[in-house]
Amino acid sequence: MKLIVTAGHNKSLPTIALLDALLHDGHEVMNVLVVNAFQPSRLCSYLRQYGISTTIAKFESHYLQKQTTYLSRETLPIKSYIKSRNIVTSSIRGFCAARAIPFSRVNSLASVKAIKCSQDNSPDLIIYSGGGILRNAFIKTARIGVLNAHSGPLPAIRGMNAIEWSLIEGLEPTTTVHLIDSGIDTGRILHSELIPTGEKDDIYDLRGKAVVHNIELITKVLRSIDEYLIAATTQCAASGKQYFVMHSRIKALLK
Amino acid sequence: MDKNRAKAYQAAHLFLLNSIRTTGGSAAFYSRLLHPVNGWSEAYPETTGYLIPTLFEAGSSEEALLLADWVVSLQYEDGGLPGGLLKKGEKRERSIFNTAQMILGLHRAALETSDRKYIDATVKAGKWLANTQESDGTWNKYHYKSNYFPSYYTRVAWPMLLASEFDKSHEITNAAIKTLDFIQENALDNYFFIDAGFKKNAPAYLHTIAYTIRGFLESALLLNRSDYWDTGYNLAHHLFRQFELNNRLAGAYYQDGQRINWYRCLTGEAQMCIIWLLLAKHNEDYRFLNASSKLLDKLCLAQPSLSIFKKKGGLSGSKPFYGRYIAFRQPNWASKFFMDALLLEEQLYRYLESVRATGGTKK
Repeated sequence: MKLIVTAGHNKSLPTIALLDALLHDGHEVMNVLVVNAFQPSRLCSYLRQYGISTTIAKFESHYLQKQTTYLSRETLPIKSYIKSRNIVTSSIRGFCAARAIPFSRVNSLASVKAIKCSQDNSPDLIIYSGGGILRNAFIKTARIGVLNAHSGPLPAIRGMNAIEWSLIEGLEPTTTVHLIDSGIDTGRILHSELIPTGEKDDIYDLRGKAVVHNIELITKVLRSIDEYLIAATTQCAASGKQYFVMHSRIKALLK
Repeated sequence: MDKNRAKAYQAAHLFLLNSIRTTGGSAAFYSRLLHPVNGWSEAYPETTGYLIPTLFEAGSSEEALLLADWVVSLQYEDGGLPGGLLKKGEKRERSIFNTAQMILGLHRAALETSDRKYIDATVKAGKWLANTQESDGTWNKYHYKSNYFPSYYTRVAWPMLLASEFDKSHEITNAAIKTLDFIQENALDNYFFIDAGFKKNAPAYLHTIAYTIRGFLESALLLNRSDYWDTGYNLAHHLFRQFELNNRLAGAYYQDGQRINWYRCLTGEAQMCIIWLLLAKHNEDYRFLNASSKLLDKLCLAQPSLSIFKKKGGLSGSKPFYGRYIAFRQPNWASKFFMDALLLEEQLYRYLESVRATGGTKK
């Protein structure tokens, strides 16, 4: 299958692991669209959503790969997954260069450059692995659409902090693979599975495990995509809610 | 309450206690610009009335009853209560809206003490509102602006429904329903309301928009009317989404939903927190608690601590201080709504903690 993969930044370990898994399954990755991490608009957006301390912690743990922040534990499962697959590079650019995969930096997935890049490659599917909100013009460039793994049960839990909100709502943490449409997590559902959890897992363990589970489920769905597309279910707009970044006081209830 | 919230609550409480005048009532606001000598304005019967429940909740029963007695002393023979700020000995014309706000305090004093004087004052005020009402549910006289009947009079209907709890006849209840039905017709497709502000054809401050929503929600709870609840919910949900997506609410809105963003209406923000907390509690939808906690964080940051121009603990009407709503002043009602929101937030967290501690989920 001809694929394009998106990424939120060049050091995204989940994207590197996903690319490796896709290549292993024999898919052709035609381009990787990486959104520039260092842009004032992205920084503002992060600050607005998460506040200063979480933004810094996210940058340190997910970009600089530091082990000293409170979010570092989130990155352990993906690091161990990468190690188990003997992937040595720490950047998408490096990974792509070693395998002769075209690599493009864009300011946004809604930009003309991103849309043109996808149009030129005529992919069967775009695999979403970060990079912000998508517009219809971009979504329509792929024959089938854009595939995403969402770390929450759909349609019940849409939007941000889906694992945390699932737990608050008394639902089991779930990964849902769906096609992206113009809404937030409202596209057709292809498959969902519970995220494997341990008894002593806290929210950071769960978030880390969900990242690996997302990759496993995306690759599982891609192996039988035609069957999943035939069985796909359309979401009822009224049956779910959109959730937003969770306040620390509500998060504390999960401890 | 966590340490920062408790500190904010105590500071606001102290601000309100300091606002109580020796001549009676609570000063409308603190402003070094308008009152350079001691900062405090004249007493404001309307907001003095609705401070009373807040002071009871904060454990200041003595002060609450002092204010309730002052409100009773202002009541006209026919049950009406005065509008505007009051200098000692001054007589002011009756006001529909302000009478209703004072009912909120009289009703609470009546519940707390079962004292006949508060019960009678509450019913008298409620009956006066019902008797002066037109057949379509509006009023022609005793407005803030003459010949203008605003949508935020849902906050007249709510206190009327409270007053009717002490009255066996359905006169007051029926009158309140007429008002709510009339205003419900003012709801637009975008969930905003026609005439939700202080003036006709002018943008509405978040403060009066919140008045309108709260009036519908509280009335819905008292009457068990889901249509009123939905009317309030729709706009509250719209503003919730706007806040979550933009990390701010506008200071004022045009009825087509356009925002005036250059200032924040802190009073209205505190009121929106209460509204979202009501939705979280009654709909068991904790997205609203989440939004409310984020907005309360911002309000705590806006609460003055040490300042030459501002009194410690009192939220200002707007941020920046020169914003359009109650510019250069720290109104007592901003602190009142802030305290109410902090307390309601705490109650909800305690409830959630207890549910989780017993191993259950909220469902």
